[in-house]
Amino acid sequence: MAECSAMRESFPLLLTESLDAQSRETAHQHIESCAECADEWQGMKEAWRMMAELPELEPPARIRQRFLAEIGVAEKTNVIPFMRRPAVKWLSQAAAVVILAGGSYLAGHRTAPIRLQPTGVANVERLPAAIQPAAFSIAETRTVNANNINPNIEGRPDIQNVQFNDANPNDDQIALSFDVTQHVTVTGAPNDKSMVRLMAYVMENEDQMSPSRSRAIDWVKQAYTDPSNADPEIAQALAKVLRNDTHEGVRIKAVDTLKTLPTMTLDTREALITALKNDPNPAVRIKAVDALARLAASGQLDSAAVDTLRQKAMQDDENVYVRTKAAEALGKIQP
Amino acid sequence: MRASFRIGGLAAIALLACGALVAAPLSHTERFVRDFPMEAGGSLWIENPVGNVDVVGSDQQGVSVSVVKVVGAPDAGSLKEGREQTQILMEGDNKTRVIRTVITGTHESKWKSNVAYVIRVPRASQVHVKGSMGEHIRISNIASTVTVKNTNGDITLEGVGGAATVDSANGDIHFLSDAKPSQPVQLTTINGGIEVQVSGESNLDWIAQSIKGDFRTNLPVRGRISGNAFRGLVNNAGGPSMTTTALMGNIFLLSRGGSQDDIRSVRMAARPTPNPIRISPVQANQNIAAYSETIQTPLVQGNFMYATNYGNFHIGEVRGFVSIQTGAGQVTLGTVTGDCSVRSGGGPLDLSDIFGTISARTEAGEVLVRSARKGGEIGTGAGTLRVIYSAGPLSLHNGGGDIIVNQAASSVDAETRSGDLSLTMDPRLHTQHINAKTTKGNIILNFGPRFGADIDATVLTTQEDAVGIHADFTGLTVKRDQVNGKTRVHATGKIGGGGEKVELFAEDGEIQIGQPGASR
Repeated sequence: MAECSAMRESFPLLLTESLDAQSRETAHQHIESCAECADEWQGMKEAWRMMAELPELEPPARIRQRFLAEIGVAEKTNVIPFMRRPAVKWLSQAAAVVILAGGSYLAGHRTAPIRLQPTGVANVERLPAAIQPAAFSIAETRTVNANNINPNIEGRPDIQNVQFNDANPNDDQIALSFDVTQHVTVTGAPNDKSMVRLMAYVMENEDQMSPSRSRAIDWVKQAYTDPSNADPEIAQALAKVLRNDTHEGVRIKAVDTLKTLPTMTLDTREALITALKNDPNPAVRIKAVDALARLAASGQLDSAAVDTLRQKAMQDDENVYVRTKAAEALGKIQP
Repeated sequence: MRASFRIGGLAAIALLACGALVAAPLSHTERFVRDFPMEAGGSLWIENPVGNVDVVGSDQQGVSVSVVKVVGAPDAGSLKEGREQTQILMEGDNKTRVIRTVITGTHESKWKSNVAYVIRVPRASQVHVKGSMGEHIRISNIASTVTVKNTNGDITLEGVGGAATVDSANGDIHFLSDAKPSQPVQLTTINGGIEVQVSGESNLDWIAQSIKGDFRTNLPVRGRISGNAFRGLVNNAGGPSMTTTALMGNIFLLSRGGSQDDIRSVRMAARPTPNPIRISPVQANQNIAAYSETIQTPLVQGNFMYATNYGNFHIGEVRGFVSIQTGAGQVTLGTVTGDCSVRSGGGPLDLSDIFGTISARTEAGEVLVRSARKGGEIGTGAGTLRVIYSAGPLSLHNGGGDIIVNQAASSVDAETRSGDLSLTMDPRLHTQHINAKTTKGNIILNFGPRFGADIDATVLTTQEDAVGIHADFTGLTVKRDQVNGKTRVHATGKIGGGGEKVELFAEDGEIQIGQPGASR
């Protein structure tokens, strides 16, 4: 029973897709093996679904204000997502989160993994915290400074409507906005660790169907080609995209951005060599060769990379332009 | 004889080795000679990543190795480190001798080292050399098999009678023999050239390949060219193969002692007819060697027509029409007052301001069209395809990559196999036919407030709960069903009172239709 109680506490987080992968798997396994929890879970899911389908009615202003006053939030809107969510539906869902999270808190006093965890700075507006009803505030948008959030992103939060903003290119501030369970804008310098991790996270984990990944790579190119913002984690994230993304347009952007970054790690070099060897898209291979040529000129290619360039140059069934680019890269090799 | 060989060899290699490191403030030179017994027909393996290798076959028995090791460094500590980390290992037995230079430093080390070898071996020995960054590798008077692999530096094989395989990245290769070759020879260099000199009476099966270079000979040759390769017979059939590949350089197959005046281009001779490609009179001199070109000119008065196996084109303005065909290379055109036809086997296309209709395609590489005043057909086998502005109907095809149109004032038909499609219509447009399809990616379509159309948008996705289609306006009827295990989201409706058909299809992606100023 204790296990059931603990599991039920995690249902709100499971519902909002805020559990890390391991906890999610554990919760689902328990649901499959426990009829009572399965009933509970079905009921919760059904309630969630019904709330999502509530008609889009504007609540009376008095009720809305009282509700917001009770939870200590003022209305404000300073970041508009591409698709604004209907306010009532959103409020209903948010209220559900509060109720469910609060219920769980009261039931068990247990803590659960917190995503984008605030570090507790006094005037920070918090990102979605879990199971701390007193600290949970609801607003349509929240702005958080990157310095004030923990750079470790736990689990795999489902973030949506990602937007990048560099309002003043002359200062060192950028902003990344997204929806988790509320709309959040994280502001800070590109080389703030939290900003770096968020950027890397968006590139690697954003919904495969969404155009956001592709846009995120554009933002990275915009913000991180400046040597003062260099961070190997960004390069590694791009290398991961280059290796794994099935979307050829995204891979082209990834390799194109990778070659403009001032930092090049062993991991990114390997990703470029692998792309040159194996990527089915010749445009990716062309850009990988370009990037390797830059490394060759700086004497950073090992003999395995040189051999790959030689093989590519001599590969009869390779596109002629790729072959000539590989030859040109070899010509730049420095001892 | 032996003493003079040693002294002369040591002096020569010392000079060469020291030269490279003379700029270092501190340097240290070691010279020594080692002799080993070796059986006739034995093998010698040499690996030296940082210096020259000279191997000479002789009738004497045994192996004699002369070594000069030079280390240069900016300070005494680095010099000591360099001396310790540049090791010369000599191993093996009477059948197989292995001589290696082992360097354990990295490219960040402050010191540099160079090791040069002069080695005498029995003439019947097999010789295998792996070099990297020396100035040369020279092997002479060897009757048995020779293999050489190198990165930078020239390679010379002189008087080698056995089978020979040479592979270089950036150096020239010279194969010189007074005799008729009796064993297969394979010479490969990527950025260098190849020179083969053999007896004029040699019978050879000659295979030559070069993307940028030419094949030239003063020997009697019959054969044919196919793409970048030539295959033919030198003199008569029955001889060994002579395979020569110089990817970016020229290949010469010459009769030793023959006349230089008789050297001719195999490519030019193999042309079946006079070059059918014509260019305008002011460019006539550029048609001389159309196998590899870089054409860079600010202005062409009149039409410009050109075909080449490999060519880069950078032309500021053409006052006429353009027709370019290149096996591979970059094409950059500024203003073209007439129609523009470009076909490339690979390489980026950058077309600035094209007054006529465009027909442009590259097999691989980015395509950028800044202004297509009459529209046209534009495609790439792989790469990003971007059109900044088009005033005429556009037909865009991409084998793998995004398609982006920043401002289209006419109809658009765009398809990519894997990539996003982003189309922005001219905000003044009232209606135009649009057909956009991606089989893996998203479609983002934006049009102005006056735009009217009949929308037919379909998303096919494996995500059951995907919204699929987002629109900035109301009036679309959305249906969902299952097709072959995938969820199909189908939206139809009129905007702006209806108009031309706008057909959008995205698989494994989303469709976003934006209309600034529209209310949802």
